[in-house]
Amino acid sequence: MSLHTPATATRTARLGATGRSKERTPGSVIFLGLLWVSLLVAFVTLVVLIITTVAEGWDRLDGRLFTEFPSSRPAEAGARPAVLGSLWVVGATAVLAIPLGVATAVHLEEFADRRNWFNRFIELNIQNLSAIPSIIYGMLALGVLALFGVGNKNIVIGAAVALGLLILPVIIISTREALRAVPSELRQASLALGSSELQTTWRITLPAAVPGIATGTILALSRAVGEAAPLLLLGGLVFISFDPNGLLSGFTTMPIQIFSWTNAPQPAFHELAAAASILLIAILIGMNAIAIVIRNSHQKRW
Amino acid sequence: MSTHDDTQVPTRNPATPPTAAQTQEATMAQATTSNPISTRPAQSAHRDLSDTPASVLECEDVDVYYGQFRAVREVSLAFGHNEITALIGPSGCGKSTILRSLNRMNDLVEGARVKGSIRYWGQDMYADAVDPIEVRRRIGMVFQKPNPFPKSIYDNIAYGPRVTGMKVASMDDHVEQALTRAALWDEVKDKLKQSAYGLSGGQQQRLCIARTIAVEPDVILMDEPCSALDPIATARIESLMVDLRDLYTIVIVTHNMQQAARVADRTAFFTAGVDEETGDRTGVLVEFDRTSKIFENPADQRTEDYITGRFG
Amino acid sequence: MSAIQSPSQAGVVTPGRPAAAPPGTEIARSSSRYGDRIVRLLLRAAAWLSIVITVGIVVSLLVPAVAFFREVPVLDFLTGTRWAPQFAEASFGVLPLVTATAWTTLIALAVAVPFGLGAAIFLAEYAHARTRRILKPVLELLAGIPTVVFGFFALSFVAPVVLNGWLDLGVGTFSILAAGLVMGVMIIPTVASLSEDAMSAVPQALRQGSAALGANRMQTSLRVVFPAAISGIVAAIVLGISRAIGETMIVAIAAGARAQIVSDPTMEGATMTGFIARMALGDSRVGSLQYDTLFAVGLLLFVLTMIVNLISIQLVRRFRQEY
Repeated sequence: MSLHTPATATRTARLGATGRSKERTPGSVIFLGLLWVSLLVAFVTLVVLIITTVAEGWDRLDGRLFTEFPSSRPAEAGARPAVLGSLWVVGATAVLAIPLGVATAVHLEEFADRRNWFNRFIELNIQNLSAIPSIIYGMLALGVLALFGVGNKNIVIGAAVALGLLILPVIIISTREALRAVPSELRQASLALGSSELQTTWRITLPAAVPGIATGTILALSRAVGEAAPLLLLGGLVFISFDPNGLLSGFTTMPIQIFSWTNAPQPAFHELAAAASILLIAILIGMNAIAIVIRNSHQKRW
Repeated sequence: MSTHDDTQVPTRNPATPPTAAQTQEATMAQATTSNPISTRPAQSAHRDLSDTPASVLECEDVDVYYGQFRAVREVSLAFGHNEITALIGPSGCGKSTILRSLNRMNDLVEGARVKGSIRYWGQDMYADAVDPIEVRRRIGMVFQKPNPFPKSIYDNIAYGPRVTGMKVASMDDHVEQALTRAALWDEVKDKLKQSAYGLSGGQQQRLCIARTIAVEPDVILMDEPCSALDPIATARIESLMVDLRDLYTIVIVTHNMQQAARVADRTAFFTAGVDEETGDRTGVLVEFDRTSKIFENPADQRTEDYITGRFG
Repeated sequence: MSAIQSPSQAGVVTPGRPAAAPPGTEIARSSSRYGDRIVRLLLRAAAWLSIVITVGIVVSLLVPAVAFFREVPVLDFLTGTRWAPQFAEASFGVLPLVTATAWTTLIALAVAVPFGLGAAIFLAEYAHARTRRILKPVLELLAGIPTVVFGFFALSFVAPVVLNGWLDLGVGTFSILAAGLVMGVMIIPTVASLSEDAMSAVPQALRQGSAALGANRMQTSLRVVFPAAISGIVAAIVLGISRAIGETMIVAIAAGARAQIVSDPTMEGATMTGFIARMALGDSRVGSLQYDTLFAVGLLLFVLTMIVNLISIQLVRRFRQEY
């Protein structure tokens, strides 16, 4: 998601500059109405989605969801391994993707010579990677596991590789934007004091970019939390009757558990799917809210 | 008067036009009547300057290129120890470019190149063995817009000593000393832990000067340090510069001729020459002399046109 | 050259050279900063990793795909109209999957393009700053809803309630139409966000020029801003296409599993991604032809989206250059 916000002042100026009467022709009114409809389609869908999900799953949203293992009897089934699995997978994903993404962004934004064809190729490559279907990353993770001779594809680290590489371009792109927003005057001031470029990056540029990096990273991780497709290839859809407890442990995750329940024919499982969806949506709304709060509280610092 | 026996800074123009004395005579009357710029209080301008002070920095035949474009051409200049030297001239005359090549800040611009030699205490600053970071440690810089770090006042000052690994007995004392020298201590001593962004523009600029002083440089370069400030803040910075002159060598780029006249010991006037073939504007040094001489009795017609407001 | 006059330094008071440099003024390199070099090397290595990832993807897809194409001729794969990799009498014509993908993508675009652009025009040209501050995060939230939840929504609400209940279209439990419509809503934020960026980048002067000629805001939006931002808008749509082709969970849940040539959107049908998702759940042995099929389809998917992405990136660059 891009964070572009044009200046408020010019916007108001434009409002004042246009004549009122001509804005009221039937065509203009219909046009504005259509624009409103466009927005409403998105928002109404969002609201209806949340309401129908809550309506279907609310009764089933209780402690059992967290404490019980999956079961063939809907009344006894829960998502305990999926919740724990999601935590492990997303944690490992973060550890893998954040340092790599930030390092790449720092190299490209602060050190790389932009006129060099290879660096431009890297940029093009990253833009392309950010729009490759997520399921392809599952196939990549299979390839990586095969390369290391890992026979069992259903392990947390495999999922972390798939999701980590999936969100890596997103982290790189948002970190670069955050670094670019740091005024070059700060870098110059630091360099003029006799600090090296690396010291400048580490002590001045990166700290100043932290809010932007945090926003982008949280949004990227929220994508990882909700992603299911690549993990299907890694055998994420298994009946797990133990707590995932390490990087080499077997896993399933929340979205996959939901997928599994939507596939079941009995309506009771659909209630479970809805209940788990409520939980997942709540987590993601929370992550989005944190990201937005960080972004808004740090806008226009210089 | 002239010190052409000095071989270190040769004059580029072998066919020296009229001699200094002739030029002086010719322009004397005119200058005293038509020059609107007062060189008044002259805390500095009329200071006794030796003809041959120790020079800290010397440019010899310096060309600065950005890619294929030559921004400045054949500049030879020397900056005297514990003196204030002002670089003046119209926009695009290359004075900031020269300033930024004096501590290798131009290295950071992609495609920027310096030809000729710039020496710091006789050492070629652009020699292979020279570490640009070490150069910038000795030759600090204050920028056009105050640019404090988004840190506390204290950390702004302590940053330089920390990153350069200076051995400081007590950082608190060191910070206090730097702020005192920059005439800011009394205003900020009770809020050292507060963000530097809470200070006024003039205070921020003095903070930037204090920050530069804290790494104990030899030379301080100032790139139009008052252009973003109001007249009162400007006056404070100017008097600060005069105070600091005894400790540091100062080079200042300014758009404001009165400012150069007020603070600078020596002044170099640059202008932009237009290449007839390519239309490129290349900066050239027109005249370099004591400030009083430049403003009261310039040797070159172009200098006179500029300071009397007929051009630029 | 001739116009540039040499400096007349006659009478210049030239400061002389110091007798000796004072101590502490040496500027020769004191250390080689090995630490710095190592860290910068590591940063560079991280950047190179992105290339390794692409190579990794290509290799991971190609190795099994090549094995697949040894058994099944490429032409049969690309032009065959029957997709039945798991049947005893197996057949590997990918066209049924491609038609299903084409349908879901078209339906998704039919939703996402008008509504996404409408939202973008509203945000860029009409909304007050305060309105935008509220609307944009909500739009981003829509983009943040997990696709598996969208899929469930298509299955449990859109198909039975909207399509069958309200519109009485008589679709089955699974349908291309339900999946495509929901996918379209999912893509609205993608299209809206990028095209809004493009429109916001159009210089104010153009709008003022238009207003000065007496155009109202609708005319300015449609005849001045929209054409000026067109390459960015097309890029947004193309990126939306890439999203739609690659979207997996919605179609896996709501579009159905039967691979058939889709001629009517109320039919069910397996898309390329839907097939991969379903097949991945099966128990086909690693190295078997069935297993390699996954990668052949994956390779096709990768190539298709990459072409689409590169078009989009090119267009974005063009509009960035313009303004």
